Amino acid sequence: MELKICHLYPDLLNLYGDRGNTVCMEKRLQWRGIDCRFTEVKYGDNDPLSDYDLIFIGGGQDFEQKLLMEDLQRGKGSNIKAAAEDGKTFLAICGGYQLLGHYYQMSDGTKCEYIGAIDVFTVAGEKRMIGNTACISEEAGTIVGFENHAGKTFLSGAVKSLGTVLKGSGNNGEDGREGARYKNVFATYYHGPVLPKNPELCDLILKTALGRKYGIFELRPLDDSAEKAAKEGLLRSWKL
Amino acid sequence: MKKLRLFFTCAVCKIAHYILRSLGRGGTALPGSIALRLYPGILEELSDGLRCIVISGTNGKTTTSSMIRNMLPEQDSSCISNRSGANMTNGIAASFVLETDFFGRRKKQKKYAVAECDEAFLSEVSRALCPEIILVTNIFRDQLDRYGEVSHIRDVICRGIKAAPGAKVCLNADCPLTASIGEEIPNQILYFGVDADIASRTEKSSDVPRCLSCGEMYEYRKHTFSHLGDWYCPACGAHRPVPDISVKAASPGKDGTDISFLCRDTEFDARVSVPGTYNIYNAVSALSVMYALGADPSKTAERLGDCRPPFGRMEEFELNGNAIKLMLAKNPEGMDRILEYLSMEKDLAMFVFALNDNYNDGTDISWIWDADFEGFVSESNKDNRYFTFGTRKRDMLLRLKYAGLDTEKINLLDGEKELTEALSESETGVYIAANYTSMLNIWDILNTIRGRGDRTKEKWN
Repeated sequence: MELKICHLYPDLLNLYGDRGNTVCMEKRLQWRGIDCRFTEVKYGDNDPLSDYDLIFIGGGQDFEQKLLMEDLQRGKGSNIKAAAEDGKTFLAICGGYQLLGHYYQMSDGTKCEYIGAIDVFTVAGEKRMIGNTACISEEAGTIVGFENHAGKTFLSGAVKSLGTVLKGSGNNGEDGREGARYKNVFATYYHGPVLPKNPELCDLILKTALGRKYGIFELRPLDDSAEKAAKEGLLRSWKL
Repeated sequence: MKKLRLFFTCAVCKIAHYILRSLGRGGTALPGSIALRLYPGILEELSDGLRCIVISGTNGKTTTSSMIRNMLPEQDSSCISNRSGANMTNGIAASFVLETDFFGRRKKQKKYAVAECDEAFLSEVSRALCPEIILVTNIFRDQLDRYGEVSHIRDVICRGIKAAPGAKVCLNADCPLTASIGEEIPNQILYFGVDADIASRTEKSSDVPRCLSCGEMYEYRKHTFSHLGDWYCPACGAHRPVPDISVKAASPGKDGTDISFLCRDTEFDARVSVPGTYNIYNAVSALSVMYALGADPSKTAERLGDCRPPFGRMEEFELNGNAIKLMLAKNPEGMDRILEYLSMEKDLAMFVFALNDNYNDGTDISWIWDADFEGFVSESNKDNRYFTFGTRKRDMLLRLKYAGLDTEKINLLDGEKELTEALSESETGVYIAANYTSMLNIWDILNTIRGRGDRTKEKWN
C-alpha cells in the first residue's frame, strides 16, 4: 500500500512551520506500515496531477504572488481544479487555501483571479489577523493552530466550513467560520503547523486519500498521548 | 535650560534603573523609554564625538558586537555598548545614559559606541547616532508574526541605512537579501563572505529561493548554509559581490574554529574561540568592521582567539564537575547551527530544549518544524537523555517525537524546580538550547544553582 503525495509549490508556498505537515503525514503513514512517496511540483512543472492521491499546498509570502499567478495561468490552475473536482484529497493552508478560491480582491478593488476550484473568495482586510486559534469540527473534533493572514475569506455554494471558531478570527473574523470543506478538499488558515497537534485531522485526511484509492479504509490507532497532551495543554492555557 | 533637562533625564533614568535592579528585576527598556520621553534627542546628545558602530541583521548581532568590542584598540572599556542585547531604541538609549554621569558626561576613555540594533529600529537609531559604520550580518526568517516576511525586513534595513548616508556599510556578500541592499544605497560598501567548505548537513528550503531582480531560481557555485553561499542568477546575471574580506579555509571544532582569512591580497590565520559554524560568519563580519574602521585585520584577528561568548550564547557553566552549555536558538537557522554543533558531541550527554511563546519570543512557535531535528536525532547517541522545558514544552516534545525520538526517552520539565533537580543530578555534560525568554529564565536558574549570587548587572549592563 502506498500513498502518493504531491507537495505543490514548495518553492513558492513554504511559509514557515508548514513543513511539519508533510513530516506528520509521512510519519503517521510510516508508523502504520504504509508507504508514502512525496513529489515536489514546483513553478514551471506542468504535468497533470492525476498521478497523486493527496495534494498538499502550503502558505506563502506575498512577494511571490506574481510568479504564482503566472504559473497558475499556464495550465496548472486548471489541473488543480480538475483534480479537486475529480475527488482528489487536498490539504491547503492559508495562501494555498486562498488560491483554490475564485479571487483575491485587493484593498484598491483590483481582483487577482485565482482558479475557482472551490466556491470561496477572499478580500483584503484592514487588519492582519494574527494569533493562536482553535475551532471545533464535526469531523475532526477540536482543532488548534496559529493564524497570520490579512485576507478575509467567505464561503458560498456547496462549500462548508471546516469548523466553528472557538478562538481567533478564522476565515474572516466575522461569521465565526474557519476553513473550508468541499468534496475531498480540506482547507484552513491554520499554521502551527496544523497537523501534528491535531492527529484526528491528519488521520481523517490520510483516510480520505487511502479510501479513494483502496476502497473503504480504517487506520490502525496510534498512541497519540503526546499529541493530546500538547493540544489539551494549549486549550487549558487559553481557558477553552 | 538644556543642561538642566539633560541632568533631570539622566537622573530619572538612572534612578528608575536602580529601583528596578533593587527589586530584582533587570531591564533597561523602561528606563530607556523614560529617557527618550523626557529628552527625545538624548542619543544624539550622548553619542556626540564617539565613533559609532551599529550592528543589525537577523542572526549574530550580540556575538558579533562582543567580538568587535574585544578587537577595539583599548577593548571593551573604550566603548559604550548595549552588551545585554537590549537592542531596541530604548535599550540603546539606556546603555548610553547608564555609562555617563548625572550631567551626561562620559569617561574619557570612551571613544566608541558599539550598538546592536533590532532591524525594525535601525532608521531611528541611524538618524540619532550618525554611525561611522553599519554592519548587516544576514537576513533570515525570524518571528514572522513580529517582523513579517524577509523581503519586508530587507526593505526596512535598507531604509535604515539610507538614514545614515555617511556611514560605511559592511554587508554579507553570501546572503542575496543582504547583498542586494548594496545596489540601492549610496554609501561606501565593504563585503564579507565565506569561501571555505563549511556546507551544512542538510539541504533545506531557502528563505529566498528566487532572484530578487528577475524571479529565476538562484544557483550556487558553493553553499554554506540555507541561502548563504556563492550565489548567482542564471537568467539575469545577478551574482554574489566579490568579498573584500573572506574566509578561505576553516576547521570547526568543539571549542572553536581555526580560520584562514583573505583580505584583499593578504592571507592570515586566526583562531575563533567560540565554537559553531555560524561564529565563522560572525568573526569575518566583525573583522570587516575593524577593516572599515581602518585597523589592520591581520593584526586585530588575533583577538578573536580570546573572545568570550556573550551571556546565554554558548555560555558555559560548571556544575558538579560537568559542563553545562547554554545556547540561544530562536529561529530555524539558529537552531540548525546549534543542532549541528550538538551532533559533534559523541559522548553521553543530557539535552534540554526550552521553548517559550511570550511576546518577546514571537507567539508563533511553528518554526521549530523547519529546523533539522531529524538529522540531530539520527546522529545522536541512543542513551542520551532528553528534556523539554518552557511554556511550549509539549510542542517541543512533539517535534522530537516526529523527528524520530522515542517519547519514553523525553521528559517534560514542569517548572524551575524540576529543571534544577535534573541539572543537579546529571552525571554527564548538559546542552541547553533555548529561545529568548526561556534562555533568560534558565540563565537565572543556572546562576542560582551555582550560587553566583547577583549577576543581574552583567545581564542588564
